[in-house]
Amino acid sequence: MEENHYTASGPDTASTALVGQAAKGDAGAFGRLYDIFADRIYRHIYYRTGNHDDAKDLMQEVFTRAWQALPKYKKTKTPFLGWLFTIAHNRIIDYYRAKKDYAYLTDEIIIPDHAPGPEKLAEVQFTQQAVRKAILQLPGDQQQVIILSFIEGFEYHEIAAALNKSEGNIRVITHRALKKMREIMGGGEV
Amino acid sequence: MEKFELILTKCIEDIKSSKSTIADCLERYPSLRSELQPLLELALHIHEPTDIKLDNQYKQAAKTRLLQQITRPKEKTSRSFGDILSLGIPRRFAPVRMAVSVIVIVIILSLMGGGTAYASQGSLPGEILYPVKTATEDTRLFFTGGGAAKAELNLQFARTRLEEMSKLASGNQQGAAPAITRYRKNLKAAAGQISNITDSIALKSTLDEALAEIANQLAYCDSLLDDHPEYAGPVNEAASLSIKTQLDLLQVLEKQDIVQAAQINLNTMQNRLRRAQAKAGENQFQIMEEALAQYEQFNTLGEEILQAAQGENAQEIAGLSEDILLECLANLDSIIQKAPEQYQPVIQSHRESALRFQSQAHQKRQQQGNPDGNNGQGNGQGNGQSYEQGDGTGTSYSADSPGDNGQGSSVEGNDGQGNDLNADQENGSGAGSSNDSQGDTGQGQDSPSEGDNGQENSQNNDQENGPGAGGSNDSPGDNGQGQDSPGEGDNGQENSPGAGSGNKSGG
Repeated sequence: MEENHYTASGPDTASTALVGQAAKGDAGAFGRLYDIFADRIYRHIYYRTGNHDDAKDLMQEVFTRAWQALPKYKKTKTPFLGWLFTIAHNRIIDYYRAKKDYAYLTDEIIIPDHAPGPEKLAEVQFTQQAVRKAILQLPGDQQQVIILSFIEGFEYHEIAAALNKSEGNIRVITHRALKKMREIMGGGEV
Repeated sequence: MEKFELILTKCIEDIKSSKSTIADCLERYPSLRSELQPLLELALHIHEPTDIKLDNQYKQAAKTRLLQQITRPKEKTSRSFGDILSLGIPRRFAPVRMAVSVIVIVIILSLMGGGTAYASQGSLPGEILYPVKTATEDTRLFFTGGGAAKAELNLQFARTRLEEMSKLASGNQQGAAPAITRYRKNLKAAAGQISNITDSIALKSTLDEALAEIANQLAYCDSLLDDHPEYAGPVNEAASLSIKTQLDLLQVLEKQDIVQAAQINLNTMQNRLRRAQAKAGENQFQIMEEALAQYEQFNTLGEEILQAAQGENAQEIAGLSEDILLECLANLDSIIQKAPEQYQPVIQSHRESALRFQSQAHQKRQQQGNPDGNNGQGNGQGNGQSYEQGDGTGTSYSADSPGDNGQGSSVEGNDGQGNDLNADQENGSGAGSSNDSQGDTGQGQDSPSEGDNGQENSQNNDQENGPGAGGSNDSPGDNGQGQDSPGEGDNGQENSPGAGSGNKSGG
């Protein structure tokens, strides 16, 4: 199974041909894209919803929507994965609007980590949960930029393309988001 | 001097790629240590939870379901479905028929848990299930309480209309008419519902979301037109509707937060001109012309907002406008270079509009930037225009525009003739730079250079060395006010506490 790491540009380069085929209606090519990107999309949604079942459902919706909208996708404008993330972002917003339940802010997600021992593991888990909660309380664009940048490993220019903003703007938003997160987390050390 | 956000993000990139450590970065920027360190430490704690993965078995099963779903042929449905829903009531009794249909749908939905609604979601205008889809939407709207929620729903349905148009683009383009009709209806309803919200917090929140959504819808229209230039009629009509709604909502926002309204409007001006420029580069001049016409509408609103602004808001908006218009004029000049002769008159007319707006902004900034009795304290707004008085000569200087290399101009004096202080130092000293590392602490302003229309009043222990457009760099040790305006199309706004108050020796 193919797995993609960190930047969107690598996998996108490899998947360009598949995207082109899928855009012409090749469901098999789209299935290959699903193989490549499903884990990333799932992880992204799970991080933001904290619920496995909802994350699975939303992931399916993202790919269904992507298939429907694929003919319009312009690979030159946005990395394919970035485009998928924007669809996911919209689906997640719709999800919370419909749900009107903000328990996700307190639900803790299971974040496996390779820590050396139980104490360290507990510390890492605690920090990661605090960071996640702070991220989820950020305004929409800040949240998206932080997640795409730090969680998903996009470069600033890729985020700029995905969100239709300038790279400088993304840097400004990053700065503000980090400041806001500090405020949310009490301004102390993480 | 680099902007703080650039330094911060570069440091983060370097640390993430192991090129530097936090200590290296702090050593590189000692004057920024206190602000930089906590943000870098926080940034390093944000990372991907790499081990969260889908169960492979589930993934394969879900993939199979997905492929089945997307390759499933559309089911043909009997033409009499509408008649069934309305229990055979003749069409001449349309209102009753509609009401009965809605009731039937509600009953079916309640019995089937939304399955029917789901089944109709993929239907398009002209198809038999389409009335079910729209009736379902009407039903949902009917049962949704509150203007904000209804508006959200209407905007969601409006987006669905565009998606329908997109699906029709490859085949039955003539079928777009019903989608556009409903698109108009959805947008109009949303705008009306939003403007009727009385709670100011709810109104602001709903406006923010609605404006973002409509901007997305305009981008969707752009994309659709790019893919199907032959579909220009319906798509341009939809784009016009979204722009009209955007303008209406901006006018509502203007009453809530005039600076934000101006920022969004200026951003959209830029967005339209960038599109026009790109299309000119692709020799798609009709689309270019359409984008320019769209630009003009926002330019007009921008002028209105500027005229309506008062006090500090006016100063800020004028500064933002001047920044953006510089870029807009550069876009227009580029378009002029690329466009054929026949388009030149219309482009020139847009250029004149931009120039007029720029001129108004400049005048407004000057009017607002010279308040009486301001003893050298920059007001932290606009483009750093500063005013100093103290020796009886009314000497002052200002930085007039982003990127102005220290060419301060005298704008005020008791006799109307200002004396240009520090004329020997201004050139090359970088008016607008606020983060020099040594020297006097004066009023500094970092004027944006790339379409910045945001504002950030940052905690400014910045030290400005040199003539420092924006004024007030009189003596070592002075604490001045600084303003760092974020760059590149930023439309956010942030105020941080602690700008040092000016402490000047005027004369």
